[in-house]
Amino acid sequence: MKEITITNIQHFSIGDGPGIRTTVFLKGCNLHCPWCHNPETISPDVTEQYGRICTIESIVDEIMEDVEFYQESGGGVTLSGGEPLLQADACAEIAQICGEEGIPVLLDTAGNVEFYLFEKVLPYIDECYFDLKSGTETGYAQVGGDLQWTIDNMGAVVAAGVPTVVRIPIIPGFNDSVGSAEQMTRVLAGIEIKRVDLLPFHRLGSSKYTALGKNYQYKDIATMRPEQMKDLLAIFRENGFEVAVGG
Amino acid sequence: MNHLAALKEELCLEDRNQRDIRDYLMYLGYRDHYDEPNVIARAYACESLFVNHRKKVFINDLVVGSRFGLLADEYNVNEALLQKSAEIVRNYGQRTFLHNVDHYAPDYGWLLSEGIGGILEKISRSMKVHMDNQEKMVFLKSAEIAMSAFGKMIEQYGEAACEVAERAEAKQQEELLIAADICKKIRKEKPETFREALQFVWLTYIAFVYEGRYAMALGRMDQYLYPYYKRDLENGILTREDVKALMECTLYKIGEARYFGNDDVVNIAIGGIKADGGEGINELSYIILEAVRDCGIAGPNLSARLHSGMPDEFLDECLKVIGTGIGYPALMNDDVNIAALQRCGYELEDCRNYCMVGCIENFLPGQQPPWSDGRFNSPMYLELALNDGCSWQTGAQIGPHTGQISGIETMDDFLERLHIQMKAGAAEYMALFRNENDRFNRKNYMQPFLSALSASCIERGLDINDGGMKYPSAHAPGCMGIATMADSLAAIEQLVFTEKRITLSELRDALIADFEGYEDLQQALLEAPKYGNNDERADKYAVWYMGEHVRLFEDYRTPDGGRIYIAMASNVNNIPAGMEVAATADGRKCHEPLSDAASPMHGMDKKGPTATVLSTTKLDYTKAACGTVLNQKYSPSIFKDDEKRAKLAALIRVYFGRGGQEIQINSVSRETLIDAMEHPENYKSLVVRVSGFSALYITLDREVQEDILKRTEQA
Repeated sequence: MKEITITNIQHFSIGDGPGIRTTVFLKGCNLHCPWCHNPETISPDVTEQYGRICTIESIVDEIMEDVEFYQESGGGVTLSGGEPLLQADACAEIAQICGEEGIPVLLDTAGNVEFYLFEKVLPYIDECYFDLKSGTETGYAQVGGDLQWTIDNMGAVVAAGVPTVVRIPIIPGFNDSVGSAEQMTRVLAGIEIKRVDLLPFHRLGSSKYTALGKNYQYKDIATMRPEQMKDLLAIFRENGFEVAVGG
Repeated sequence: MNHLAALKEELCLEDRNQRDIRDYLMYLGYRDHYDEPNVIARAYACESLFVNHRKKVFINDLVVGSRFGLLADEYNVNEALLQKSAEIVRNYGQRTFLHNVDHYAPDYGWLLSEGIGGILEKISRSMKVHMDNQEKMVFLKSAEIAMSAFGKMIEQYGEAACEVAERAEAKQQEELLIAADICKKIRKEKPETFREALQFVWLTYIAFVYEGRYAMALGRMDQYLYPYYKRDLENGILTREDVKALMECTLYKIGEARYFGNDDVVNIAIGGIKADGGEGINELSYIILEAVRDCGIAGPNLSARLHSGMPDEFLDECLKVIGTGIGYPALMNDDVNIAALQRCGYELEDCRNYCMVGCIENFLPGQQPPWSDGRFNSPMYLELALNDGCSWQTGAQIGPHTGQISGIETMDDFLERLHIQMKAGAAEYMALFRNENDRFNRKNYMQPFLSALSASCIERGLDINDGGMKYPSAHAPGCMGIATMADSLAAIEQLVFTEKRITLSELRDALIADFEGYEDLQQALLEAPKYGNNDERADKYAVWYMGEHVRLFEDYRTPDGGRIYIAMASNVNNIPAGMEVAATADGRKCHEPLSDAASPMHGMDKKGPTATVLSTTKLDYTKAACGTVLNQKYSPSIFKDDEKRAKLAALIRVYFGRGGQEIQINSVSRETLIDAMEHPENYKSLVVRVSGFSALYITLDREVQEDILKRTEQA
């Protein structure tokens, strides 16, 4: 069986999709967002502190433990990270087995990968959480990504019939202005997305930066309150999106 | 200002610096009846308690009856007289918790259907039947004295309400005069309206308080009061709002106990199925839930009986109240509790009608004598099994010789020696329990008032503890430290017998040294499989633990032939019990707290709540007739979000569906708890879940506060 590199499996995950979920955090990401709350997932390398290599079988076994909870709550499995699609074969295999067992699978991706990686996984995916970091190429350049690529992939995922929620981390000084929100609504125009979630900036990951010996640029930036999302919510709503504060 | 707010303010003003004169009130009863039979003298002491206490009525109250009358006011009692009173009362002696005196719920439905007049009539009818039996006649006479005195007490509360009404403003005056009329009526006649019924129930509880009883449960209020509620609403006599206000004024006064030093623990069971198997959840269940929330005090110990067919809304409303932080209600699984009680041989209708007394103790209201329990410190026997029955802490040979450690070759061998040690411990426990009870001759330590509240006691002419009840008394040794035990056994199996990393002798040496110089070994023990992570290697020993306790106690009976229940509800006894226990093989150091109740060890349930549910439901809780307590802690934010709360509800449904018995949830954030420890002055009303009850956080001992803090926060 194939192997997979993960940082963690979180049971009773209640912020990563519908119902009670088990979230598998895959290790390795091709973006480097300075606010990232899972900084330990960025490097693909396993260190003493973070990460382990597991068999697909062991992951599936652990997922299967909670099957009653998925059924009772309408939950399932979330593949997150890191960028899970960097290990697309492993994701596909897990998703396929889960599908056969009747467990819904949600893919949580930033989508800055070649589309053929999506194609491996999409047949087994029930829902997609698709990150949008910015409405401009300049914004994407700051995190090492590509806006056009993101939008093209998002369009293709939606066209493939996978219900897609756009998830936007709202980061002070990066994309929290009304102008930024308007730009994002423009790039999303024309894509049939289910919902937009605004995820207000928080600092819950800061201790992990310390543990990693990394400097956390956002350590002195205040946590955003849901109330601060009011203007941004209005803009998305005016442009016809179903939008919520969540995550 | 609503009634509750006004009552809260008024109650704060009460002068608390007066003497408690309960002994004196009893003395007044005894001294005029020294020459009468013991039980008659007791009945007169009871009469004096009811009749001679000052009838305190709050000007803002709707339902009268207060325990503040225990405090001297118009009585000018001097010190010598108080000492004399205490001497007489002590000499007569009285049963205590261990001898079935409190933790009880009468059959309130029956009381309401009879009223005082009806009960007195039943007593006089029974006297005619038992005319030739002197003993029974004396008992019935005592019941009559107590019941008549109770009627007099109700009448006096009515008079006091009239007096207070004279100096009240119009609106308050109106309410007080209604209360006065109600008392005037129900001193004899049976209650007919909701307000009359609630007033009657409350004064019964207040009478128990004057008798010195504690943890007298109000039982299934939403069931026995429902017919009155329904009729009054249909007749337009009351609105839902009125009912809530009445309920609040009643339950808030449970908090008066605080002024006497300790909160009372008055269990109220809402929801559940009815005796006939039908749905018991009704509008009154929700009103009581809201009233307990709005009272916001420790004392009304609310239990919600859930069952597989219940409306989702009920659980959701329960979770919303839990989310306020007060820890109420505790959630109980009807499907398990009813089956557990049935295993004890009670009739199905009685089992379905169970409520709780005290913390979580399952109880058949009005069908069995008051509850009692003790503490069985199971993990203590690990030490004895490893050391041939000798405590290495004290050097005393307190267990049987089970052989030197070098002779233990397999895990089964070790378990067998552990069993022999525990069996000897159980025999000792039961002997002490029996001896304790034998000290109380049933004919001399009668309970006239309590017995007068029972149809069968009256009919049979027998005291509540002397065969008057339908079923005999039940007792439970509270089994300590399931996770301490399971984790220790799992670590022993893993490190000693499976991996052979250490020998049992090395382990014992490390435990004797309390891990000084054995830090690496302690670390390895801490990393061994732990209960609560859906790890069969540890969970199987929790299953063993349950089975072992059943094996230890199932053949014993109480002095009157009742069952010994299994209980895994440690209250906060996991802390003192831990003080008796040496270092254990789970990596726990000497004298540290044991795991609490039926919960995994603090901080060791690392895989999240689903794994905790999967582990804890491997046990068959229908063997635990008393009940179990699973303490869980969730962040307050989860309760505020409808979607997240629904996910928690789903988790609880799976837990109960798999056979979980009880779950109770703390939802006060870690930051708040720490801040409250540092700045108690800012948290005077912070009520948190402790164990089978809630309490004001700042009044708890530091160790208990820390114990709550250490519980794993699940999400």
